[in-house]
Amino acid sequence: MGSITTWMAAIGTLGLLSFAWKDNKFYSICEHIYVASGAAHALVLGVKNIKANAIIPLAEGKLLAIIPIVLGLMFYARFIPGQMRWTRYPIAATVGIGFGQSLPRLASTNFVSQIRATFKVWSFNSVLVIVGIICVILFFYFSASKRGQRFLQYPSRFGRIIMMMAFGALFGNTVMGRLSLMIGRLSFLFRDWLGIVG
Amino acid sequence: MLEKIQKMDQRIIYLVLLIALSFPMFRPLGLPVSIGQTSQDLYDFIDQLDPGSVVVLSIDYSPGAAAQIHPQTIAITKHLLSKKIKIVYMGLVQYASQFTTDAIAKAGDYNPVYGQDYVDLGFKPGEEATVSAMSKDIHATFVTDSDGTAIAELPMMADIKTASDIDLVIAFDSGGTRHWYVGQMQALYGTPVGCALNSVNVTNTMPYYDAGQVIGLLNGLRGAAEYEALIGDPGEATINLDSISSGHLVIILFILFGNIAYFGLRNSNKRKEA
Amino acid sequence: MRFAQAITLVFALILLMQFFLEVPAIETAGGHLTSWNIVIAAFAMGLAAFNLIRIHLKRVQLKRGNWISSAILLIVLVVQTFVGLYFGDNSAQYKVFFDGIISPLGATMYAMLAFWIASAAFRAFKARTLDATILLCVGIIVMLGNAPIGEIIWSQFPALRSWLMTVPAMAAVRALYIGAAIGGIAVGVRVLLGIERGHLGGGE
Repeated sequence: MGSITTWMAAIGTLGLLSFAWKDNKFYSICEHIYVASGAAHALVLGVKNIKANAIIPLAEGKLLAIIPIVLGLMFYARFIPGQMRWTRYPIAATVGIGFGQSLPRLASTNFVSQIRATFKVWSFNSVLVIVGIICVILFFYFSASKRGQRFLQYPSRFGRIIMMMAFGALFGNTVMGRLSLMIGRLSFLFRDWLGIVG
Repeated sequence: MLEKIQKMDQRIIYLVLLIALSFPMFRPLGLPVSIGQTSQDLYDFIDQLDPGSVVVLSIDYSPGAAAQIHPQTIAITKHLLSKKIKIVYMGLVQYASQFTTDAIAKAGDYNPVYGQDYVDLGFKPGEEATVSAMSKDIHATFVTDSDGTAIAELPMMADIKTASDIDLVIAFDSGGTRHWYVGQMQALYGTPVGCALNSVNVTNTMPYYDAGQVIGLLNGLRGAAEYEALIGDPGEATINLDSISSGHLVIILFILFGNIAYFGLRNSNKRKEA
Repeated sequence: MRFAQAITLVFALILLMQFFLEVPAIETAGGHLTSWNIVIAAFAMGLAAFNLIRIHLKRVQLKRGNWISSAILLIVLVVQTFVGLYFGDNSAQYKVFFDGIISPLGATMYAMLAFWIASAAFRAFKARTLDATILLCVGIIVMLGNAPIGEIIWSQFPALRSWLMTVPAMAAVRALYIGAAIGGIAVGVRVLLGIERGHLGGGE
C-alpha cells in the first residue's frame, strides 16, 4: 500500500477528482494545498538561482551582479503602497531582453527557414503544401478591396478547409494527451497505491 | 429517448470514461505498436552517436504533462546510458531536478557515475535568454549543478562549455522551450535538436521537423511506447497504451452518439413543425 | 515612464546588434544582459508566494469565506519553503512535498481535462457545417491513427494520420508561423519605438 508519500498523493488525487462529482470542501482544501506547494517550490527555486547567479558572482567580486539584484527587488515594490511604479523597470528590462532575443529568431527560424523549406522539393504533397500555405495566408487578408475579396473567395475557402484539417489533427492529438494524463492517475491509484494491478 | 440521451448526466460520461480507461489495466489487450517515422528518426540519430558524445536533455515539463513525457525521458535515458553517451540534464521549468533523479533511478542497471557519465545542472529561469546564454557559456550560465557543486569541479563538464560541444539537445517540452532551442542553438550553432513532446504540441512542431530544424520527435505516450519498442525494453508507456485504445474508442462513440442524438432530435422537431 | 522605455530600447538594441555585428564590447554587454535576465526572472518567481501570503493572511485574520483552506495554504507554504531552503530542494525531506503534493496533484489537475474533453465530445462536437465535419473526421482519423486499436480496424490509419500531420496540418501551421513571425516582428518594432507601452502600464 506504499509509503506516507504515496498515501498523501492518493488522498490528494482523490480529493481533486471529487470535483467531477461536485464542488466540495475536500476538493477546496486539496486545491489550496496544491497552490501553496507550487508557490513554495517556485520560491525555493527562485532563491536557489539568485544565490547561484547573483550572490556567488557578487562574492567573487563581479560587481555588475548588483544591477539585476536591484532590478529584481523592484518587483516587490508592488507590495508597498504607493510604490507600484518601480515595478516598471524590471518589466522594461525583461521585455527589452526578450524582444532582443526573439526578433532575430522569429525572422530566421519562423519566417526565412519556413519559406525556404516550403520550396525545397517538388512533389504532389509539396505542391499541396505550397497551395495550402498561400491559401491560409490569404484567408487572413482582411483588408482586401471588394473586388479583391471576390477574387480571394475560393482560395480563402480552401485555406479555411486546410486550417480545419490542422485543428482536427490538433484535436485528435489533444484527446490522446488528455487521456494519457488520466491514465497516469488511474495507473498510480491501482498500481502504486492499491497494488491491485500488476 | 433521443432527448434523454442528449440531457444525460455528465457524471455518467465520466464514469464510462473511467471504466474504459481502467479496464485494460486489469485485462491487458497487448496490442502491437507500429513505429512512426518521427520516433524512428530520433532513435536513429541517437543510435549513430559515438560513445562519449554529449547529449543535453532539457527537462521542461511540469507534473501536469509528466504522464506523457516522463516515460519518454526514462526510455531515452536508458538508450543513452546503454550507448555510453554523456548526459547533461537541465531544465527551463522548475521541476527538472526531481524528474531527472527519478529518470536515473528508473533507468535500470547501468550504474552511471555522477560527474563522469551524467550531470544534473537543474532548473534555470530566464527562458530564451538562458538558452542563448548557455549556448555561449554553459559554465557562466549555470555556475553550480543542482546540488550546489561548482560546475568546474565536475570532470565531465571540463570539455563541455558551449553549444558547439553538444552533439544533440532534446527538449522534453510541454510548453514552448523547443522554439528557443531551435532558434538559439540549431539556427546559430548548428546543434541538432530533437523533441520529446506532449501530444498537444506535436501538430505545431511539424514545420520544424519538415524543415530539418528538428531531427525527430516523440508524440506523447504513444511516442514513449514507440521508443520503448525501439530500444527493446517495454515499460510503463507500452502498458498504458492499451488504455489509450479503449479511451479513444469511447471518445469516438461519444462523438457519434452525440451527433446521432442531435440530428435525430432536430429531424423529429422539423417533422413536428411541418 | 520614459526611462523605462529607454531601458527596453537600449537592452533590445544591444542584443539585436549582437546578432548582426561581431564587436567584442557588444558581445560582452549582450552576455551580461542575458545573465541579468536569469536573476530578474529568479526574483519574479517569488512574487506568487508573496501575493498568496498577503491575500490569504488577510482572509484568515478576518475569518472570511473559506478561511480554513487559507490557513492550511499558509501552513503548507511556510513549512515547505522552510524545508526547501534549509535542507535543499534535492533533499529527502523536500521529496515528501514533491512526491506527495506537487507531482500527484499537478498531474490530477490536468488529468481532469479528460473528463471535460469527454463531456465536450458528447455535447459540443456536432457536424453542423462542412468545416465542423472536416474537423471531426480528421480528429477521428488522427485518434484512430494514434491508438493501436486503429491499426487493427484498418491498417492504413497510421499512414493516413501521418499524411494529415505532415501535409495539410503542417501547411496550416507553417502559414500561421509565417504570419505570427510577421506579427511578432511588428509588435517588437512598436515596443522598441515606444508606440506600444501596455507592458509598462502598471503605475498608480
